[in-house]
Amino acid sequence: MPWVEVHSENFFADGGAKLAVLDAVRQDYGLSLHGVGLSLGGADPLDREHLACLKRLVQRAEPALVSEHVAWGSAGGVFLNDLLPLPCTMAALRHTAARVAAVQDCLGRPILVENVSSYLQFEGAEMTEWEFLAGLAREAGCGILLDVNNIHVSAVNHGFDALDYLRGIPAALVGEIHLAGYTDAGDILIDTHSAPVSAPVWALYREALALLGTVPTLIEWDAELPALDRLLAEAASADAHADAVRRERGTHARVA
Amino acid sequence: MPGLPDPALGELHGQFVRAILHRDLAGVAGRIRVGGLSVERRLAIYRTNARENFAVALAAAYPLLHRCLGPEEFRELAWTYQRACPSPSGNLFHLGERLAGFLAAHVSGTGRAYLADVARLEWAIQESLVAGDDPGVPDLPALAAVPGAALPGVRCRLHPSVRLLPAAHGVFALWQALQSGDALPGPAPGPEHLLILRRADGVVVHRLPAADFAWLGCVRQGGTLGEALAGLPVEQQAGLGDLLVRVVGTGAITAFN
Repeated sequence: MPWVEVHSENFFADGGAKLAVLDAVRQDYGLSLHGVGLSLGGADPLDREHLACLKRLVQRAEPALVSEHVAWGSAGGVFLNDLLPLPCTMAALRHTAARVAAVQDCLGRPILVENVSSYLQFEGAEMTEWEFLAGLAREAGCGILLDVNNIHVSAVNHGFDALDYLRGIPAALVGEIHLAGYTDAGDILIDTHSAPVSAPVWALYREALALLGTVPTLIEWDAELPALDRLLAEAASADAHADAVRRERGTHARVA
Repeated sequence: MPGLPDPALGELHGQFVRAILHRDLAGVAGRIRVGGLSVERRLAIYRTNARENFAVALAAAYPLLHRCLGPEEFRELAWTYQRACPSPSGNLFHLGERLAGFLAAHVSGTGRAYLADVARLEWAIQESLVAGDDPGVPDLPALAAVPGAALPGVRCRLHPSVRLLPAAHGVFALWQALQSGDALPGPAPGPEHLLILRRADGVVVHRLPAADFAWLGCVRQGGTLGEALAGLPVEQQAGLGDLLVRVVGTGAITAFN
């Protein structure tokens, strides 16, 4: 296990055991801070207190990567604490890009932004989701955390071709890949992080590696956790897929 | 830093939040693509996510209340509380900060009024968990060497995780039972005076004598040893030495200044 990723907000503390554990982990592993609560696409003003907590944590932990989601989470000060989808419009893109740029200015470093799974789309879309993601990254000057499972879930839920999504993402902008398991609710796929990576997502992962080359990859499994050896076996599977792609394409992917 | 909200996005997001928390689909329904599944079904997934995320986070912060109520009643409480006092932050930690007040309004005057004290205790524990560090250890020999005339002017530095909770009901035994895994007793007669603080191995709760609690409260407000002592009943003012030993033994004091 070469590096560790944690949810940033879990360490927004002044002291205590969690920060001590993070400090200890940081001594031996590379670290990635992955936020879920900044509401980058929200219409409420950026939460300066939240951002200050993130900045303080970044300064303390000096992570290799800092990431957040292309999503919104609050309206009128009411937070749903979920990663909610944005309308794929130019206005939403520019609005979100300005906020990503503001976050980067505050942190003094670039961040990665991650595509989310979605269960609905808004009317009035002016572009595809991958055009939105790529355009956002270009306009904000940030990188992309490409969640391959989320691409598959949304592709099935909305009926687009996941390969079109992959091909629409500039390889040079992708700084990390996420994999995870989903739950099939019968009429829709739900991103639950509670299951092994599915066969179609492994296949899509291989396509992604072939297109993107070397990308640090993380498996998200944070609900209904199995034993550690099961998690490590999942990571080994990712390694095996990456090795296979490397052999086929002469690329190499690093997996956590 | 961009501070002005986008009005069109703000309207859409506000409609979405009302649909999730209050099942008011009037605004948002026409703005969502149907495409095979109904708008209600699509929004129900987000409602379930929002409700479950909230309930799970709340239960993690309030394990004793969860056990007192049981999973079903706690889940209903969480949903009622979420709609009345929605999360104020993207950090899940904060969603529980108004629960004690919310609960107090609902259980006041009933046989379950003690539940509000349970919630106050558990929120104090949450605050203590994330408070700052202070590795200081009080230097008692140095304090003993302070000339008697100067002793009343000494101030204490308390650990940042110290919280003081006056509870109207006896909830300390409930907390102890949760820690030990024993069956929960009924609430004991109150009041109780509780000290919450974080030690190296986690947050601990102490039940203090009323005088110790009052003394520590004054010290926490910045009062000197003398000022804190003056606030106690005359018959208890002679026992400063014993009181100091008791309080220092809890770990609440990290330095004498």
